[in-house]
Amino acid sequence: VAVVGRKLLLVVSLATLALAVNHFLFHWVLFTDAQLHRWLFNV
Amino acid sequence: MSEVRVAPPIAPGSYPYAWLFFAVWVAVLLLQIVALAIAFGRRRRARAGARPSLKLQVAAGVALLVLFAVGAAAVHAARNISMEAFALRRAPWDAGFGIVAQVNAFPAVTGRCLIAALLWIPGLWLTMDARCRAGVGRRLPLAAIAWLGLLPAVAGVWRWSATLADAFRASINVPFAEHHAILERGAALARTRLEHFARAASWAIVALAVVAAIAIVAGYARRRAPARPVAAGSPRMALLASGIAFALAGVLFVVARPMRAENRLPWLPAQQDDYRWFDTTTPELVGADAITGGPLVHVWPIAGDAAGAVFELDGHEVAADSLVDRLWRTRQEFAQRHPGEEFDGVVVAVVNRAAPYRAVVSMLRAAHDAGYAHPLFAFTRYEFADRPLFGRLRRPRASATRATLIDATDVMFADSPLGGETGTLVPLADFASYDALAGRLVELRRVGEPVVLDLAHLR
Repeated sequence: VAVVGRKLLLVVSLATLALAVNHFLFHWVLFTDAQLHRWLFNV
Repeated sequence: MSEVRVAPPIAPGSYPYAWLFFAVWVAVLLLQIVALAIAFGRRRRARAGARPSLKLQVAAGVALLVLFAVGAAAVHAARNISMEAFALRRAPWDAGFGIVAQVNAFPAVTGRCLIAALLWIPGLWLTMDARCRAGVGRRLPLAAIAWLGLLPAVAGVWRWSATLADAFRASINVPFAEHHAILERGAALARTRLEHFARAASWAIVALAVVAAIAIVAGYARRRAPARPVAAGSPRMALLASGIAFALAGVLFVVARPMRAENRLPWLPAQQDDYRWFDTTTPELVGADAITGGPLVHVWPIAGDAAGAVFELDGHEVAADSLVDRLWRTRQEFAQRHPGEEFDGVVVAVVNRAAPYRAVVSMLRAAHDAGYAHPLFAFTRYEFADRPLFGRLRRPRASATRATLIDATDVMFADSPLGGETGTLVPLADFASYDALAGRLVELRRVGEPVVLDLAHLR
């Protein structure tokens, strides 16, 4: 059971990391959109 | 007749350090191919009892991280161009270049990193499998399949970039106001698409993690009494790997927080006012009417001469006594250039709040006598936006208040005190300064009342 528990913990942790990468990638890319609006604000 | 050709603002693949990133990518790609080929060979030999080393796959993984870092640095360099332009440490128009460079960089970087990663994964999987068959180490954890859920996120980045690139292409050679609207519409559409793909990626990651969890539990149920020992690896290593993954996830969430704050706060629409209307020395008022255009008359005070004023018509200085002639000529030119079009009699008046009242009245008299009976008094105010990362931004906005001019002749011909117009009569003789007049005009127009300005009975 301990082995399965560790494996499930690894699943949860890797999935959390993948979700964090997705979250970061989304906001990292979208910051360019924020820069575009900053540029259009008073170009 | 020579054809004017405009180069597209987006040169495909153009972003800072593009060649450096390309060179590193080629090198990393070759390393991944070699590592994959060796992994194939080792897996065959593993059946003969050889114990393959993981060193090459670890080195290939480190090379992949280097590729990610160079790609991220290239995007950051492009981003920095825009930030420096916003801070006026470089030319303001460089901001646009930096944004376009990022639009170019994101799909190139994510695409090439994905190709390299997709070559690394099978090599790692084959080597770990070979080691497991040889009785050392363990197979690639099933949990890793959750990472395949990131594929929609990468597709979303490509879609976002293509949508924005289309918007930039569509904005070539279009008028100022339309240019902004096209880019804003393109950005909104690109954002919606990116959000859609990011959401799909989140669900895919969760779904794949659930599949992995079910497979692990089902596998455990099947192997309750394993015929041979299962290579479970060190418990400490598994816990350490989980801990590191959680810690990295936390770091990524924290690092994304400032960008998230900026990305979540909506922006005011892009400004579309004509810079010729801006004059921060006009009375500090916000008019209820939009500036629709027309000849532009400026009235400036003269320092040291309380009664003197300078008049400008469409950017050219005009003597006070010839303003009516110049306006009349402008009206004639309008009729010649726009045959059949109705003359609206609108003149935009940008008047300095310190301009002598007599000069303002003189300008209005000239406008009326030239047939421009509908002055739009323009005001400039600053509009502010407080942004989490960009700080306090400000921009000038122009607004106006509209009036109709009449004089004693209009009153006489129409046989009505309003000269045949409707609205509230405001005699110019009741005021002593432009500030006071402007305040009254704005007050009336804000409640939707038409204003009739009477030039009669002036002192």
